[in-house]
Amino acid sequence: MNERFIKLTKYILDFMFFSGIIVFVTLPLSLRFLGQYYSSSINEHFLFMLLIFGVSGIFGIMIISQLRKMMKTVVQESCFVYENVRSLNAMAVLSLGIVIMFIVKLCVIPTPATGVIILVFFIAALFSEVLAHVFAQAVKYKEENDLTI
Amino acid sequence: MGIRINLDVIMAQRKVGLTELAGKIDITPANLSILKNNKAKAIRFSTLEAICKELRCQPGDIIEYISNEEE
Repeated sequence: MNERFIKLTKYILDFMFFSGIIVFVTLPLSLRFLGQYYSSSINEHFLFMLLIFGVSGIFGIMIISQLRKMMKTVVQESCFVYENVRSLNAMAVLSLGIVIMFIVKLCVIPTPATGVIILVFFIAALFSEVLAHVFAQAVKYKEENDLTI
Repeated sequence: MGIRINLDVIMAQRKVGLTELAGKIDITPANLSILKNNKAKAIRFSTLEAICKELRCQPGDIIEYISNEEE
């Protein structure tokens, strides 16, 4: 059950990573489409929206990339390593990056959804940072245990 | 670190090899090598007891405290 869950998580992350790249590459087209059929404000601030979503998209893809790296260590059964602490710290910084991008968007085009996104990614940044500290302690304990003969 | 492991000296005196001793005290040669080379962070009483029993020595023969000034 656990093995299957790990594999499923890995496949979902792989799918999100590659589909994220496709979404990022086709962002100008999809924004034009959304500007026509969803909200005209996207067309009015097209370049600004492209910049916000583009940069946030890169940050999002980088977060998924860090998660994929962490899952690889889980599959290799050596997840208590300092690389994972660095990945969690990087994810916290990237989440804060997304928060900053959407704060800028909130100043220009304020919508309730933007506020929700800011809150969600701010909590995600805090979550990653706390997990990084917990993980760092776990790695330290594991190293001590490994070096106890 | 203030603690030095003199296992290599006692092993040489008793003419016992690393693999042989590791087999007798039931730990892996890799772990015994970590201990011998002063890379270990701690030693279990059970391991210390097995080493002392096998090498017919006291814990003080294997473990030595060196103050920082002496280092």
